[in-house]
Amino acid sequence: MTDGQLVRQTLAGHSSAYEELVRRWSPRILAFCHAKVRSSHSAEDLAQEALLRGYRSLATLSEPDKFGCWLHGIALRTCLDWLKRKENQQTRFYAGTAEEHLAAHGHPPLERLAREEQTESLLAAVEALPDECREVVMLYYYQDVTYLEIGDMLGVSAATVNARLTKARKLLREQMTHFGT
Amino acid sequence: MDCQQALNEIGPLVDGELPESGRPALEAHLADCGSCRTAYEELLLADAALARAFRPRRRAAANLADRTIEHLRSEQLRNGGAPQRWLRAWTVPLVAAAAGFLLAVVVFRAGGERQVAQIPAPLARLALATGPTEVRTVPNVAWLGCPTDGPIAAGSAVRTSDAARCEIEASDGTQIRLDAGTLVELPTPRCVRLTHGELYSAIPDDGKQFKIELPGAVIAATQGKFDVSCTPGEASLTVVEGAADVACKSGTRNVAAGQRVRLVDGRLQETDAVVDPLQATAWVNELLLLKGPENPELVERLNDILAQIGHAKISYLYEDEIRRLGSRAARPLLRYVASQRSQSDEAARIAAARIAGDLADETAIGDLIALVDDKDAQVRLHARRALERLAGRNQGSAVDDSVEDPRALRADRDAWQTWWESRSQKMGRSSEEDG
Repeated sequence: MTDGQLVRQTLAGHSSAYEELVRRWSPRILAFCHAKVRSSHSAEDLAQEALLRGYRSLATLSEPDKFGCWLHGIALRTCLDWLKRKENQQTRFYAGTAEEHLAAHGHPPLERLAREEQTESLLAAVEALPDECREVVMLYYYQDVTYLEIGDMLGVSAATVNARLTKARKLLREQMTHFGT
Repeated sequence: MDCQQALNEIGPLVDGELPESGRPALEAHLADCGSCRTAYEELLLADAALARAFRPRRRAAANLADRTIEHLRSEQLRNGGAPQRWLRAWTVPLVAAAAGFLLAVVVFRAGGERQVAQIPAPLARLALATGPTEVRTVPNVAWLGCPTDGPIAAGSAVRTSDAARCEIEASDGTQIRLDAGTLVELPTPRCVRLTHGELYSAIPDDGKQFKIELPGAVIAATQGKFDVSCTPGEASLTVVEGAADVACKSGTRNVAAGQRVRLVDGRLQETDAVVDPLQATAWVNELLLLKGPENPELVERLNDILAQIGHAKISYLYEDEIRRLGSRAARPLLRYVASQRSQSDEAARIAAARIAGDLADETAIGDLIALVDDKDAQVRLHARRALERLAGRNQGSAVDDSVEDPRALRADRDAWQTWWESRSQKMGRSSEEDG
């Protein structure tokens, strides 16, 4: 069943149709939020908020077949609101490139890396990637999706997705080598 | 193929995105070029490490979906189970359609553009279900699972699986129970269309006509309780209470309470007297159990069934009917034994204690302990034997079946109570530790 059909069923009173949409879109919305706020814990809260907001304002969706794009818009606004609040609370999120970030702050202490699980180190490295690279890595590895599907979500071509993913993996490889992973 | 082109394509190769036609050239290049092959192998390692690192995140995404769905359901319960209420609250003014059950939703958007969507108001809700029950709003779309309390819109079809029964409650109070493997449509609150399976309908006495449509026949009534079954080429109506009119191509007939009529190929057959409506509608008992041991309809049915046991010639059938319900029937039976109303029918009371003793599981232990010092020796016997079975031991007391001393019986009851409290505490601690 398409997203559009599920939206129409939800509007007809079948909330279980929205449950199917939640299962379908949770990984991508969570990946998107994680990429935006660089915190897996906060991303879960924000993704849930976006999914709930989507349900409550479903009647305003004029093109049910574009549910995914519309929901990403909600997730984006949810994340931006959160980032704004955090900024007001003097908590800043770094927005530069991974190289600049590492130059400014140095590599994570080796002792800490030694203590942490390898996966956590790698996720931290993903979170430190430049925006464009971080987005495609998160979207690609949170769920089994194609370049084309990621491209549709981000409004870019499959070739651009490939280029960003290639760049991201190159940066991560360098860091993995540096960390001895 | 040069190295730059190869490096552009090794990502798609690893990700399964490279067209088959492009693989031979790339693989040939990788076989010849050591630096590109190294880049490819590093990429494979990076991909494997990322896939590993994201495994917990994938689980988190699945958990997020579960949590969100749980949140939505609890929010729907608080809001009466109808998402449309949220629409009213959040977005739009609603204008009720002049007639029927459709609501017109008028959505004003930026720029003055206006969109009107027709949203059917829910005419019923799924009140109870013993297993998977599915709904679809319009024909030719996929069936969707309907949660308990989920709204059912006008025109929807509802079906139960082969292992599920359900109860639908219409907005006017009409109850429609569906047996396993049943398919119905609900065009309006006062009409149900039975395609196949069996339904039981309780119609409130409000003077309005209720219709049950079958292939080739229509049943109409203004109040009462009816059981209707439908298979290809054959249908039957059993009137439990009230009366109903059946209309089909061979004519019309009024069917009174306690009567059953069959239809074969759309033609009315002889009207029979129903020996026992309880037997004819025994399948609804499983649904009544979901309403709790104190549910009045369940209590009334159990009373009627117990009254037959030991008195009717076919009393074993009634006993089997209760036993088929399994351990869930034990608590309603024990409540019956403990109730004032059972005091006037000693045989039914003892029968209830005996059946409950056989069926009881741990959820009935508290009710069983309450009967350890019952005034009736047979009731005490059945309660104590059930407790010993569930506990795997007795309480070491000297009480046997012949003891009538109230103080000894009371001490025996206290011993069981102490054991049960101690065990409950241990189970609680264990549960907390597990959690």
